[in-house]
Amino acid sequence: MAKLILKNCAIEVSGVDFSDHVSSVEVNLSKDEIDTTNFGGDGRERAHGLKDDSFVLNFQQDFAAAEVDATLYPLWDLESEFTVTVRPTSAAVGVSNPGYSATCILLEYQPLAGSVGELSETSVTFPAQRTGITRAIA
Amino acid sequence: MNLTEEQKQRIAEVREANRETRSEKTYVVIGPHRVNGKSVGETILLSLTPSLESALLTAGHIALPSAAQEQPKAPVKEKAAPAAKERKVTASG
Repeated sequence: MAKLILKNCAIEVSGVDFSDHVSSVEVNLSKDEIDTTNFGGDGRERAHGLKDDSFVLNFQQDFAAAEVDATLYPLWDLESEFTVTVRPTSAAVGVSNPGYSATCILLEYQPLAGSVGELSETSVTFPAQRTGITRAIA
Repeated sequence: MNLTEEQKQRIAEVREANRETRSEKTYVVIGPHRVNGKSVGETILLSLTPSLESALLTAGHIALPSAAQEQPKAPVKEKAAPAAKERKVTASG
């Protein structure tokens, strides 16, 4: 596959397609670093700990019904668990278009921040629960 | 820590009780955004927890079929009301 220029990432929050209101995306895969250094060598030794994955999406804020704020506020307020899914392109999931998804929660939400004349945007971090972010190719 | 099978089962029961149960229902997509690939007006079968169902209903992405059927009736009533007022004004004037 050719090198990818991001143009049409597929972004779904709780099954709702928000691709037309998201301007940047991060899929962060992370595991805690557990120090297991011992007297067996000259340097540090580490082991993989618990997963701590997250998605970071930059939403273009929209306060209309069934848009960004109307969706994110209830997810934060009702403390729901919901699915976030991201694909590099809007094409179907496949070997060259993996789908990254996780059950997430919303701990922090900043509905409004910005200066005069700016596009109202809000960066939202979705921490993944339990199994972390999974990668599907079929 | 070594747990007995009974303790493990008890822990599993408590976890299950604390977890929100999902119920499968049919909804109608009413929002401008596609929901699980379905567009506005299409029906969709979703398995949702009570809080997630509330979040999606509140947001205006989906509606229960009964509520969705009622929605088109509301604008018709709104249109009928001003017409009646206009007639009254004409009659009195």
